[in-house]
Amino acid sequence: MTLALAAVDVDAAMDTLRSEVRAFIAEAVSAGRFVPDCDSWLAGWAPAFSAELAARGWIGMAIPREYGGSGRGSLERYVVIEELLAAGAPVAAHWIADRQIAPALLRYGTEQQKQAYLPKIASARAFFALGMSEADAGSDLAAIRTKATKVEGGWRLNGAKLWTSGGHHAHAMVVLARTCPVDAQARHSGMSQFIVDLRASEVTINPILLMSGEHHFNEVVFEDALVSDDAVLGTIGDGWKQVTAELAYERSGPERLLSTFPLLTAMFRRLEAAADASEAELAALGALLSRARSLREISMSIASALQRGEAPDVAAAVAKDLGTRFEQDVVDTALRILDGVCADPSSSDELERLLSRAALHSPGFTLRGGTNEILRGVVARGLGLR
Amino acid sequence: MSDQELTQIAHTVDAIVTRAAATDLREGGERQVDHTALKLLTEAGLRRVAVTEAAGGSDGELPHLAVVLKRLGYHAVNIALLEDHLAAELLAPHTAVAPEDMLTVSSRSDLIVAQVDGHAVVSGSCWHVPWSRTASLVVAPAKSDAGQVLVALPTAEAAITPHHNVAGEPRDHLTFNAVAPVAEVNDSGSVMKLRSRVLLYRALTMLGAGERALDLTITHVTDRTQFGSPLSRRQVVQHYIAEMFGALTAARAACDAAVSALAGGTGPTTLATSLATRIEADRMASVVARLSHQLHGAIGFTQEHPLHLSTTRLTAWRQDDLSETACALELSRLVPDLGGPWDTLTARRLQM
Repeated sequence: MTLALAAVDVDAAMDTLRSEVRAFIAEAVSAGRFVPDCDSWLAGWAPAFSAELAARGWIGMAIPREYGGSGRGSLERYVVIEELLAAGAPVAAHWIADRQIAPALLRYGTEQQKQAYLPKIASARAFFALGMSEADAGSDLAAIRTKATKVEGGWRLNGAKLWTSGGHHAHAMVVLARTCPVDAQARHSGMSQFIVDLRASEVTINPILLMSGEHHFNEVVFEDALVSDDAVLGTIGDGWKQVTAELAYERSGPERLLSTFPLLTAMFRRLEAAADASEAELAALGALLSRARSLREISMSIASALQRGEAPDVAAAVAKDLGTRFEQDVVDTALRILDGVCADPSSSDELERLLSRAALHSPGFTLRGGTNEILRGVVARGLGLR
Repeated sequence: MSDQELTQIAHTVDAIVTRAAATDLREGGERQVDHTALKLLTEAGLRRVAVTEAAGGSDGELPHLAVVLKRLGYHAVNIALLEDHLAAELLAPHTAVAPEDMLTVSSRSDLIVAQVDGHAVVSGSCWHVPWSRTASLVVAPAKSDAGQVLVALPTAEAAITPHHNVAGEPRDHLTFNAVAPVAEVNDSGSVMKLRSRVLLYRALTMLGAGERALDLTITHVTDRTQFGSPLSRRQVVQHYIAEMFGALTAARAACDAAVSALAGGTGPTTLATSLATRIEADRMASVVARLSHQLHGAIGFTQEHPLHLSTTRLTAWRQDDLSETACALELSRLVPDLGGPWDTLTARRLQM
């Protein structure tokens, strides 16, 4: 078996769009509206910047016009988001909504849900969090215990979601919950997805600080939170199928290879300026760049396969396994070759600041969105080994 | 050209090679040319598939050649098709190329062109030249007053020191002493093209060899039982296979993108693309050769098992033309002129 990933050719319209995005970024940086950073799709929560992007039609590009999007399609969306990520722009606020919730709503949402959320997502007025992992359900997602019990007119939600990025800022969350008790013979059945208002009084959000001291993660606790029947996303009992269908979107995007790209750019700049850059240092950066190129080709091929309506799960697993290890390799290379640099988040030196963020966020790259070990299992299954 | 057409080419190469290469053609540690495969490929119009008809070619395009090279790499066929094709491609626009002559190329040389009595003569050496003893001409870069040029030199005029790589493929040293070139191409684009294409073509054959090693490995771990179950049931085995598959996917993506980007151009972007592609092929070769042997156990490094046909080539080809680190260094040095790392990655889209 090989992955049928056709090399993607992007037409001239994309180049115009790319130039527009670059000009916008350059202006925003020089005007000080953002400071480039690593892992900006997790760490860069900036609603005002998101609103600027929305005003240009650069959020909700895959959302049809009738729902307030620009309807330009996922390949044009790809160009915009990869330019923003490569530049380290703060895109965290709208990231989950734009990447994952909008496609899920388009696929499974009711007309009422689409009308209610899609225009707000496209205008950067509705930010979402993902409600999947729990204390006892990490890689083994089917072990979730958050439960939705049917009541008159809706469902009563009890349980707690963990490692919820941006949960303290987001307006809503798509929660995966058990709607039937576990059937040992069919563990993946009996789960459903709900759209939950995170500002509701029965929802408690407790911060969990990262090892860097930053607040991105949360525990989100539901105590008899009432969600109406209108808030069911898709079909009751199809939660697992719906969640896994989203995975190709979640695993194959440019954010799975570009989280540390601003650091790589800064390293090139540093070595270019240094008269005494060694061949070993230059070669180390060249090797990283060649890997970035392959990863980008893989990721773009998956984007076009998704656009054609295919579900390239194995390809997406490979993309994320390789891409996130590359993100870590950038950090490791920086630590290996940069002499006289001391990573510090408050440093006035760009390289020290970027390296600090990248190094402290690095362990998460190969964990979030499915650990790389789980992904290799997906590949093995695709090759018929299990 | 359609996908169907490319698949048809792959099937034709497969069929030819299956008929021809029944035996491991190795004598005294060195491999011999598979004349049967060469003859059949020539008859099928696949030997110089992307060369003009006048030069014995089929007027095809780079994607056609890419398929042929990948499948020949997969089957570990002993012919200098890569070298013959590239030499013919480089010479055909400038000089007559005999369809039946076997040609080769050298990417490592210190040749110098001098003028003696109004005639050009070439002196110097070419190192690790593939299959030179079965080629009539070697095409190589040389220094002349006009700058870098390509010269085609008759191998019959060379002092040849036989040499071969770990796969047993000839990689000879050739020395020329005031030899008149059969052709001289005064065109820096051609020199760049040789450098760039030889890296891409080698990467394509490596990709084929890597695919074969993975196929053999999947078969082995599925068939082989230890501790009461197939090796493929073990998670660590599955992860090794996923690692090999990932490395191959990266190399394939690099090759596919390069084939579509290079169908035409020369210049620094082209060279950057080829360098990056060869780096990915080399990294794949390292991962695939190591893990395929690890998963095969002792049988895999015996002569009786076919794995070595792929893995010795993967190892040998890493040493051709430019090392992985040399490629990475050169790529890195191109980056400032290409506008930085991000512009380098996206340059294909903005045209070269």
